Amino acid sequence: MTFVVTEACIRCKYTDCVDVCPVDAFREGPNFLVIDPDDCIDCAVCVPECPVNAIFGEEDVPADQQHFTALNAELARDWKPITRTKLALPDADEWSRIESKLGELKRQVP
Amino acid sequence: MTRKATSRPVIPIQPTAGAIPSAGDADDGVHFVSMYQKQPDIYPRAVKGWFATWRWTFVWLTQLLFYGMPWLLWDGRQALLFDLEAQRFYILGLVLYPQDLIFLAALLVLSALALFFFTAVAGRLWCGYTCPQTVYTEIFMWVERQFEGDRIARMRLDQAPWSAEKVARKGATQLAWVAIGLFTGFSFVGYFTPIRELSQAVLTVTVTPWNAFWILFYGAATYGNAGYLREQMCKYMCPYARFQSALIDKDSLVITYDSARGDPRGSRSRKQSAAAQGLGDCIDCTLCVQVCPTGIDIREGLQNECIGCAACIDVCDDVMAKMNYPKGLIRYSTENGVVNGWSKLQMFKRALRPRVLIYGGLLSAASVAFAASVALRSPFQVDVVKDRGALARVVEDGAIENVYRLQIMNRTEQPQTYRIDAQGIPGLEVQTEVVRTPPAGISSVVVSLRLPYSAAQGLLGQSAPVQFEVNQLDGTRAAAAVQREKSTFFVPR
Repeated sequence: MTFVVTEACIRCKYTDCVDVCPVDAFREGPNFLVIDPDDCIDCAVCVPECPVNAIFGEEDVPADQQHFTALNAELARDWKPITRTKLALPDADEWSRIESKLGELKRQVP
Repeated sequence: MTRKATSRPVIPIQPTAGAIPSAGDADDGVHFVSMYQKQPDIYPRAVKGWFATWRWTFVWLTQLLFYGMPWLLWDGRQALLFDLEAQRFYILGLVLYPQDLIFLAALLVLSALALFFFTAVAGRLWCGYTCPQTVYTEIFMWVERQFEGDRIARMRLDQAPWSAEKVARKGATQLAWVAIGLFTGFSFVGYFTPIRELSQAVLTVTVTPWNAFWILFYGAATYGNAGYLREQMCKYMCPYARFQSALIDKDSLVITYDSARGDPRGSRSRKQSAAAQGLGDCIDCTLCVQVCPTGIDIREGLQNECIGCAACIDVCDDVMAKMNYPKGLIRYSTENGVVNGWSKLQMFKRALRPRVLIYGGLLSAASVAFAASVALRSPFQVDVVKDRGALARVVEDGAIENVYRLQIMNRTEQPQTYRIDAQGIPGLEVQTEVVRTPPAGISSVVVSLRLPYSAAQGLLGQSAPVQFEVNQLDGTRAAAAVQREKSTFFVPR
């Protein structure tokens, strides 16, 4: 099992989750974070940290977010680890209110 | 009223957030705290593993026993029935009377000794695996998980506003809890009222008011204890947690966090070794806290809240495996074992210390004595009460007669015949010779002893000891068992 970052994180990237991860399983993209399923130990400490409730356990991922499980695994291969909290993206608060934003995801490594 | 109470200065046992003096009251050094703290909600996370399997094994064993026993038959009657109205207690082949209460006392002594023994060896095994409070909480939490999900899902659900889904999930949990509670109450009452009759009565809604009351009472107790009170029962009400410190010592196995190995804790990369990052083996994932049914952090050391369920061991072992660290950062160990780095064998040797040997010896001796006294119990009991109305009377030919009341309790489930003899004075005659009792019944008979005139002459004005001898007769009228009771025979001047 692993935990999965879902759509709500895109263009927000608050990074509150990163500090608490005991195994440094977060990977950072330009405007999204993912969890490396190979590193995640399912402790769920990150879940309550996320201000937009973007993180779910693999079996609790909402039906319309299922594809994020594979997406996390895929992106985690290329993206670099992030272990310290940093400032959220400047317009994070506005984007946090928008639900459908998968099209905004930037995949290339910064 | 609470406001008045908090306006008096109090010294908190532990510093709380409210105890930090603010600028306004710092001048006189007095500050105000509320001594009332709301019980924080605990959402234990589900756990799998070796000890979880053992816990569930004991849930199944104890519950099959508890729910199944009242249905078991023995020679055509309920094998376990405590008939309070008839004052007969049927336990498998035994029939006990209120007079046999000593067996209950002995059983309690045995239980206490067993608790002492197991606690000295391995801490709160009883609490962690077999205590009804733990077992029913385990069952109720399982139900809760089926409808409301695991820890995080439950926390989210509780925070979410009421919706149709929340009502449905919470309602289903409540319904299942109430059903389990009522069935538990019913099964419990089934130990005191024949359960087959009781189930008929329940199905036809003709339960007697008292039975209905007790079913609802125990149902509500189960529901409240396992659904809501849970760990608070162990933390605030159960005395065992408080006196366990007197039962364990530095060689008792308890659930221990190996702080020498685990600290300093912290998050780390899995690519480097812990030592290279200046860390111990504890990755501070807090899983041990998340799974704890009493909501404590075992890493702070042994606490009286710890019920020894070993959930933290299971979950920490999982994490250690994922980290490729050796298992057992949290494990069953003794204080001496952790401090001195003893091996299992060294700890095992210390298990045979005087305290354990004495508890063990007492337990075995008391068990043997208990088993022997049950096995060697006479199939009947006799009580002799001398008639107090008239000490003695003179009957025809100057013979002296004393009257006694004999109560014969038949402890078998067959009708019995008893022959009464009396000895002690030459020439003594028994007027009533044969007594019959129904199965598991009591016969009370008036028995006269008569001493002929000539035999009584030497005893004028004296009270002579006599002995009743009651023989249980089998089909061939031979004595199968005998009971002797002493009394006195009075000869007037």
